[in-house]
Formats: sequence, C-alpha cells, structure tokens
Amino acid sequence: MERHRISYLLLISFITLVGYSQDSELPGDNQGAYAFKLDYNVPESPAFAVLDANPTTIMRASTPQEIITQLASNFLSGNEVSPGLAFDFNPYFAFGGRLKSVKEYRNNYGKRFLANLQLSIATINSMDFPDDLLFSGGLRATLFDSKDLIFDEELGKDIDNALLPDTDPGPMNSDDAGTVVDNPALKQAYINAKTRYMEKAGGSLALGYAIAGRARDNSFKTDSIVTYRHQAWLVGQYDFGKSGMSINGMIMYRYEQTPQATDNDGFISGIALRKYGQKLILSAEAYHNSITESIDFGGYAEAYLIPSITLFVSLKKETNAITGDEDVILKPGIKWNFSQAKK
Amino acid sequence: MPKSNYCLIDPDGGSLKVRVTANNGIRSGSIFVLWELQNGKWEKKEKFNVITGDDGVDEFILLEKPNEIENDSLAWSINACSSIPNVLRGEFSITVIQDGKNRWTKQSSRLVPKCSDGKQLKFGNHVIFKHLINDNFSTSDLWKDTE
Repeated sequence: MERHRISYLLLISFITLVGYSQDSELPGDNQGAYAFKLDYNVPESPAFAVLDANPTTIMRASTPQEIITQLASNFLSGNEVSPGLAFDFNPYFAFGGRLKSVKEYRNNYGKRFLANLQLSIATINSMDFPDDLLFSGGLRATLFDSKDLIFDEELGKDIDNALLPDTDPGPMNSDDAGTVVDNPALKQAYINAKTRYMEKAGGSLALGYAIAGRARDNSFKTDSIVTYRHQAWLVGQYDFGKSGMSINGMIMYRYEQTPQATDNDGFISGIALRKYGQKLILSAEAYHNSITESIDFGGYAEAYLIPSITLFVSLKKETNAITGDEDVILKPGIKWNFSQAKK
Repeated sequence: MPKSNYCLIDPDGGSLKVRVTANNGIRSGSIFVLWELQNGKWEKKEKFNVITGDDGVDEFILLEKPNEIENDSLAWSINACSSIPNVLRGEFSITVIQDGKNRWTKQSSRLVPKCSDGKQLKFGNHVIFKHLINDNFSTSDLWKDTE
C-alpha cells in the first residue's frame, strides 16, 4: 500500500500546483457548504479510460462541465480492486490562457477548442499487474457540441440580471478587496439551464488520446518504467431531447503489450444508449473488441444525490490481462469532484 | 484617500465616458452612482446600471458637464462570477475617457467564483473628479496643491 500512498501524494501535489496556478489566494473565505453544480453529462477521464478504470467502455462526447479531479473508487464493492485517482484539468487556462469575452468563446473555434481541452493524469492499483504501479496520461478535445452551455443566451441573461446589485454604492464606497457572497438567483438560473439542457436535442463529437505505463516492481528508475498501452478514439453523441435519451458511438484504436503478447493492436467500437433523469442516469452498451475478438455488453447506473459526488454501479465483462480469464463484475463506486473540497 | 482615487478632467472638454471591462468570460453586473456634496451632504445626481455581458464590456456617458462635477464622487458596486467552467481568474478595468483620452484607469486581476456555484464576487470603490488646470501642469504639482 505504501507505493500507492506515494503515488497519491505525488498526484495530489500536482493537483495543488496546477489547481492554484490560477489562484494564489482564495476568492473569499465565506464559502457555504452547499454549492450547486451542473454535474450532469460530465465526460469520462481519458486517463482513466486507458487504464480501463472507467465504469463504461463507450465514452461521452459532451463538453466538459467542470474539470478538476475525480476519485473513482470501487471500495463499496469490497472486492480486491483498489481505488484510483484521476486529475483532469484544462491546460489552456491553467497555464495563463485568456479569453476576451463569452462572445469570443462562441465565435472563435480555436479559443473554444483550447478552452475545452481536457488534460488528464491518473494512477490506479490493478490486479492485472499486482507488483507494478500503473499510471497514465491523456488528452481529450471537444470538436463540436451543439449543446454547449456557454451558447445558452438565456442563461447569460439570467446571470446578468442576477448580478445587478440591489443597493446603490455610497459616495465613499471602498471595498476594493471584495467578498464572495451567495446569490440564490444564480443557482436558480442554472437550475433552469439544466432543464433546458436536458430537453434540448443535439450532438457532440470528441476525440482523445491516452497512454498508460507501469513502474515495474514499484521502481521509478528509467529502465523500470515501461509503456504498455496507447489508445486513440473518436466518440459521437446525440441527445434526443425531451425523452432524455442519448446515443453514443465510439471507435477506438488500441495498441498494447501484455504478458501474453508483445504487440497487440486492434479496434474497440460500439454504441451506448443512455437515459438521463434529473438525479439518475441509466446506460447500456455493446461493443466489439477486435483484439479479443469478442462482443461484450455492459450496464451502468449513475446517481447525483449530493452536489459534486456521483454514485455509480456498473455490470461489465472484464478480461484479466495476465490470465486471460473473463468475469462479469459488478462494481459499485463513487466519483468525487474535488473542486469543492479545495474551497 | 489614495491619490489613485482622483480623476483629473478637463473642465472645458467633452462629456465623460466610463467604460467597464471584464475578460475571460467573466460576467459582471454593476451600479455606478454620481454623488455631489451639497451643503455638507451627499446628493445622488446620476445612476447607471452596467452589464458587461457577452462582450465583456459596457460603457455609459455622464450627463453632467465636466465643469460641474469637480469634487463629485463616482462610486460603484460590482458583482461578478465566472461562466466558463475552467476559469477562476479574470481582469477588470474601469476607465474614464474624455475626448478620446484615458483620464483615469483602474485595473485589477481578481479571483472570481463560478456562477454555477451560486456565488458572486462583490467589490466596489469610488473616484473623485478634479479639474485639470492645463495639459502642461504636472500631476505632482497638482497633488501638492490638493494636499
């Protein structure tokens, strides 16, 4: 367990470094315990995907809503799979990129592309390689999203109206430092936006690349670190609107080196159907894996009961990379957005 | 009061325009009030709602003539939040413009909460208008006079 503590420590240090690259100080100290998030239809972490740590195989194509950190843990299942930690962030803003305005985001494809990049690093404990530390990195780009929330002009107007002060400043007003305060009208604006988002039909397209490696025998010497998997994928999504149904299609090229075969490559392609509710997302997927020459199925349920925390359970066929044995595994788990914990 | 809270204007120049900007997709809504000191009491003369919106910029023109606003205070209160998911910081500016010249500018880089969190950053300040004697008069000499 010691090596995993070390890897988490390294990852959390990196989180702290990048997370605070935009904020050398906190924007006020009066943060309430409750914070509303549009934690809905959030795309999967690319770094988790290459480690097969996501509960589903077919990924989503939507624009990232909120990217900081996801903790994926299967501790609820009580089986031998240990938790993993993925840190996702946007490199453009994290390293000083700027937008002129919301209008520039809407009108400038290049800036929008940069603003929606998702860079991801992760580490996980896997029984496939019990003596090694697994780590990964990935990049995901949204090519197109007709349901991008920033294009919701009604939300923009609602926010503007909510932001107008309700009292006039006095002649000697002097509050240059400023304070962060709650504004219930902003919460309501996003609740209304979420309803519109769910009822709107539209499509999105995203592509990604990720690489996974392992530190053999928990050693970080150069000759002990090997990459064992590369993958690149293209995923499309279409939401049907008021029915709350969504269809996703994905094609992924994967190259991997396993103990059984030094050079394996092939395509994983499939579709997923999702049913979105206010607090619950149900999903079923079917995909073909040309590496194992198999057609696999999976089921998935995701519940948003507490802001920033997602509970999920998946039922999925998995193949052990060492033994090649196939098992249908039930995985309950939790995803936690650390962006709230940081405050 | 810090010297930066004084704005030197030409009493014989054109109307004063005030421009507010917020970048990085940060949205802001604010109220600006022009106050005049009359018989030891501050009176409200003009009030403007300013919304930077999708463009990140908004402006208004003071109706009062420049030769009538010496020692008046322009005070503001701004609420702001970030509407772009990954943005935590942005730059704000308030500029007083007369005849195309920037008479006074206040810029600041601020951390702002996310609108989706239901939170806003509230901040404000004010500026006092002073008449510029002439364009060649040095600012430091003027401070000596005012202090």
